[in-house]
This record gives sequence, C-alpha cells and structure tokens, in this order.
Amino acid sequence: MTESTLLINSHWIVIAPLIAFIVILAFRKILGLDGAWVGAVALLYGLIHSFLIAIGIFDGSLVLPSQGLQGHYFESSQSWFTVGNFSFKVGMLIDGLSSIMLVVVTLVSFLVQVYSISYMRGHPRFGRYFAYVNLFTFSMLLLVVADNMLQLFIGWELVGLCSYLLIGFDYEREAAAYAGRKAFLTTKIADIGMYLGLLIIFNYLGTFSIPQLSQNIASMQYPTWVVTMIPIFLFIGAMGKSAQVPFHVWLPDAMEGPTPASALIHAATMVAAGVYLVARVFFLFEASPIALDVVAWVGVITAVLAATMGLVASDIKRVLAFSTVSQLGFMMAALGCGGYSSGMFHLSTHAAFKALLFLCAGSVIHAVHTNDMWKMGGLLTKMPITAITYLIATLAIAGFPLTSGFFSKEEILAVAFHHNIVIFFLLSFTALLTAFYMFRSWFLTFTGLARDKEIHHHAHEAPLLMTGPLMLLAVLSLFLGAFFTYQGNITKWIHWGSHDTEHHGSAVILMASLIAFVVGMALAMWIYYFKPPKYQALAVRFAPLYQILVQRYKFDELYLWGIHRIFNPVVNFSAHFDYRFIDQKVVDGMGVLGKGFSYVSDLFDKYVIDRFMVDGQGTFMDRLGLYVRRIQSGLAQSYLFWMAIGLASMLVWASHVFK
Amino acid sequence: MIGLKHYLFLGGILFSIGLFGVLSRRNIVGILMSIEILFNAVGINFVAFNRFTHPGIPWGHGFTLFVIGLAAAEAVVGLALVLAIYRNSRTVLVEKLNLLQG
Repeated sequence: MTESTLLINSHWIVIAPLIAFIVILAFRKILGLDGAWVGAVALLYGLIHSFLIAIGIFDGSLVLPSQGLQGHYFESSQSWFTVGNFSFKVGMLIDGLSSIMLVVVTLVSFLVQVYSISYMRGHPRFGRYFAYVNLFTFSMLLLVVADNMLQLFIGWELVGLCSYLLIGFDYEREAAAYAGRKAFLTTKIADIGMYLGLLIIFNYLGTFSIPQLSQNIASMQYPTWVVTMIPIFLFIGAMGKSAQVPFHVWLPDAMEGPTPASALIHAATMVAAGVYLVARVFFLFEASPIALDVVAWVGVITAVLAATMGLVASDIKRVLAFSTVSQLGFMMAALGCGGYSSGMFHLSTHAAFKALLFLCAGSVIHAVHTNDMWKMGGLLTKMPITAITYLIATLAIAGFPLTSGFFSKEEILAVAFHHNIVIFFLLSFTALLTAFYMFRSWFLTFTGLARDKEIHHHAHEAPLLMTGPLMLLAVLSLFLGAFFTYQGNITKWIHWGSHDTEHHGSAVILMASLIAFVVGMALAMWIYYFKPPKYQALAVRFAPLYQILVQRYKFDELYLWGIHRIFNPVVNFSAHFDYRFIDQKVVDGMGVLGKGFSYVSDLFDKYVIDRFMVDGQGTFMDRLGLYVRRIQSGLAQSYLFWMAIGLASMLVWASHVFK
Repeated sequence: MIGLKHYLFLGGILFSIGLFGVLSRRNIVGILMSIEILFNAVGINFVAFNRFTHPGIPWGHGFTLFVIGLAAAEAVVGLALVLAIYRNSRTVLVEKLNLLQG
C-alpha cells in the first residue's frame, strides 16, 4: 500500500464505524454479543489506517499534496448538493491536526469498545449500546476530517445526539434520562452560537471550505465586527461541547451514562470536539485578538472553577468529570494564549489518561457497585491492576515528571507564562488543585481502611478484556508525552511551530509545575492517607467554602432559578399574551373581520355581479333587441332608402379620398 | 354651348327623380315606372360620355341599347310580378307587403 492510496482511501476510516453501526443495529438480535466484535474490527481498522497516516505524516514519508492552512494538507471532496450556484461539498481534509485526532478518536473508541464487551455483558440493550458507540465514533470522525464547516456542523450535531443517547442509555433511571436531556439541551443552546457563526461565515466570507476560509481571511479585508464575532460565536458552540463555564453543567451529570461511554465522551468523541473546532479554525481566532482573549479567559476560569468543584466531590466519576472540565479549560487557555500545538498536545495526552481513569473507575464500579468513594477504600489489594493503572493515570494528570501529562501541561504553562503572567499563575494553581483532588480520589478509593466491609469483601479484579485496555492506556499515559517531546515535540506534527511562542527550558515553569505536583500530592496524602479523620475537621472548619463547592457554585440552582423566575414568567406571559391577545383578539378578530368582509362580498356578488352584470347583460340585450327590431320594418322601400343613403355617403367619401 | 356637364346634369336630375319615385311611390306600378326613368338617366350618361370622351367608338350606344332592351324585359317581369302579387294579396301598395317585418 503506497502512501497516496492511504490518503485516497482514508474515507473508509470514517465509513467503517458507520457500516458497523448499521450492521450491529440491524442484526443485533442475531449477532448478540458478537456484534461488539464487528464494531471492534471496524474501529481497529480505522485505528491502524489512521495510525499509518499519522506516522507517514510524522516522518515525512507521506506527501501531503496541497500547500496552505497549517503547512501541508490533503483534501478530496465531492459535491453533495447545489443550491443556486453554490455547491455544498462533503470531503476529507487530512493534515497533521486531523491525523493525530483520527488516531486519538479511533484508539479510545476501539479500547472502549473492547472494554465494554466485558463491562456491558448482561445489559438488556448491549446491541444498541455498541451500535451507538460506533455511531458516536463515526460522527466524531466525520467532524474531524471535515473539509468544510457544514460537514463539521453535521458531525457536531450527530456527536451531540449520540452523547444524548449514551448518557441517557439507562433511561429506566430518571436521573439518566434527565442527564441526557440536560446534556442535549445545554449543548444545543450553545450550538445556536455556532450556528450564528456559520451564518456570518457564509454571508461574509462566502464559503464553507476550511482551506478556502483560511485563504480568504488572510487575503481579504473584512469588517472588524465580522472578524471578531465569527470566532466568538464559534467559540460559544465549542464552549457547549467542551463544557466550558457557564455551559459546563451538563458534563458532571453526564456520568449517568455507562462508564465506558463516559470514557468515550470525556476522552475522545464529545468534549474534544470543542477544542478541536477551535484548533481547526484557529486562523479565524488568530485574526481577532479579542476572540483569543475570550478563549483564554473562559478556559482559565473553567479550569479554576472546575478544579475547585472537584475538590469536594464524593462520586468517583464526578471527580473525573470535574477534572475533565478543568483540563478542557487548560486546553482552551492554551489555545487562547496562542499555544495551538500545546493545546492539541494536551488534548491527545489527556485523551489517554482520562480514558484510562474512566475505564479504571468503570472497573472499580463494576467491582463494588457504587460510585461513592466514601464506601470504597483499601481496594489496592483486591484489584491491583486497576489500582496501579489508576495511579499511573493520576500521576500523568497531576504532572509527575516524565509522564505524558507532565510534558503537555508544562508546555501549556510555558505558553501561558509568555502570554500573560496572571493566566500562568491561575493555571499553576489549578495544576496544584488537580494533583490534590486526583490523589484524593486515589487514596480514598484504593488505600486506607475498607470503610464498607461488605463491599470490600465482594470486590474483585476485572477480567482481561477490561484490564487489557487499561494496561495499554497506562503505557500510553506514561510514554506518549516523552515520545512527542523527544521526537521534537508535537509542533513538528501539527506544522504550526512558527506561531508558538518559543518556550523551552525555563526553570520557573519547571519549578511551578513541580511545586504544584508535589504540594498537591503531599496535601492529599497528608489529609486522606496519614490523617484520614482530618478531612471532616477541615470540612467543618471551612464550612461556608465547603458548602459552596459541594453545591458547585450553585450553577444548577442559578439556572433553575433563571428558568423558574425569569424563563417561566416570560413563557407564561407569552402564553397568556398569545391566548388573550393573539388568539382572542387578533385571530378571532380576523374571523369577525372575515365574516364582515364575506357579508359585504356576498352583497356585492348578489347585487353587483349577479344582478347588475350577469342579469343586466341579458336585460340590456333584450331591450336593445326591442329597439333594433324596428329597423327591420319589412318595407322594401325603407331598405332601399337606407341603401341609397349608404351608397351616397360612400360616394361622397370616395370622392373626397380619391379626389 | 351645350357640353358634357349639361348632359350629366340632365342625367343626374333624371336619376334623382327616378330614385325619389322608387322610394316614395306607394304603388308598385309607379315604382316600375320610376325604375324606367332611372334606366333612362343611366342611358343618357352612357351616350354623353361616349360622345364627349371617346367619340369614335360606339360602346356607349351599345350599352344604352342593351339597357333599353333590359328595361323592356324588366317591365315584363315586373308587371307579371305585380299581377301575381295582386292576385295573392289584393293590393298593389308596397307598404302592405310587409311579410318580413321583424
């Protein structure tokens, strides 16, 4: 297989999960649990194919034909439909960015699929579950390879749909159904922003094609508000998908879905979409410093708020959810500071360790049948593989030196350091909090006394089908960062090096990330390992702060308050107005008016049309006939007389005319 | 000197008298007589034009002779019709013959 065939056939990466989805959904009764393997094969194919492409691009053996965008890219598109003289296309855009994203998505999806075979065994609707996972992967891949904004938007919406389906998968439980709706509605509200952005793009830039957009924005002058509002609107959409404050509320609830699906949502397919969107159309953001600042500050605020909320969560998946929100804030902050490649670097390393964390959590939950960390404890001896891999992921996310998270986080801190010192300090602080709450969750879950003897007694290590993906992801979590860094870091891959601030070997940054890690870990160890009762005293001592954090800054309450106090009255008023005024006055009034009009019209018809015009014509002819009949007197002489008159007048006329 | 105009004037007067007679006589016989006057007016015109415009060619005279012949034939047919009408409707007054009145 030559390199160009790799690229030309790259659309099969996207199509394979779609085929798997259809096959699994159609034959789920016949295939049973084997349906999962169909999906796994499709995803494995996608993984291998995209891995070959990514490696080819990385070592330069794969020639990307077109110049532009971020260095070189490969594009193949076909016309989809034409409106007027504008042709909408569907196509593939492969470059460093999308190739690395392809690997991330297919890798996590594949591992989740394999893991789920064991995890979902015995679930009454597992066929549907595997179908959804494949549809989810397909949607995300469609988004990733999109060469135009419309296709990206379609993938975007499909991703939202699939997250709804998977979060609300156990719809028998009301909380799951509610969480699914919440996720869907929250992201949908944010999508309005993206939709507006697309409208402005189409209206002012006149194209949806991403390479074309980048050319247009570089070569032409547009009004400032257009250049500013496009990225801001697009970013609002990205905020919804990537759970940035204030749209983050859906993600902590999204853990109601099956745990492997959470891993998928948190690592690869859903929340990565927002970051990917910003990276994909980064040239639009670069054109507007305001938009970049918005991205950076939203990211920083999200990172800090989510990290603090994670400090006190008692649900193991909720801790991970807050850490996802916080890490996404990190990525956004990096992008906003101009750190295009460091943001994407963190996205890919985060995908590895966050997928690992969720799959570990799934393994734990599978063993102890509860999400509550206060009922766990001392599981290290019962499930060593899970405990060790969870520890590795914790080290990675906390930034233990030489793990993947260490490199990517350090790059983000470096970018922030050169961009804005306040952002740098806030992110460093967040890194400290991250280390703290991640170690807290590890210590609470795996060490110390078994707080619930019954649960501890029944706990057991997961089967190989589940631990296999864990170990593979653990290896990636450990070495991915080092691999990229010693290969000359990810900038080479993404071809954006010139835009990144030069940032290597700054001692301050290294110290900051190390201090954050050490202090965070030490605090967690001190409070939750050496002096377990300490946390209760702390919770009492800082009760107001603790309450605010436990209540998650009352975002949900604020929204509910908004719905009850602002939205509902407005809606009620509108309904009232609609009924009392529109219905009763305008609509009914129209009826009355119509009745009056029809009465007048009836009279008009009866008297003017019928009587005057129709009957009148007959009468007129009748009368006319009475007069005209007199001419025909029957007297030959009178006929002759008129004839003579006629002839004479004709002669007179002729003599005048012909002289 | 008597010229073409005088003859035409005479023809015109005769034609007018004949036409007036045709239109005003109530008696069919009178109408027939008036028609004879019309024929003669036309005959005078023919002869006068022939005499004054193409003196060498006697076509006008020929036509006039035909007109006189036709007038005789017409009088025969006309009087026969008058007799037939009178025999049917016992009248020779045209205003009584109004079978086609609308």
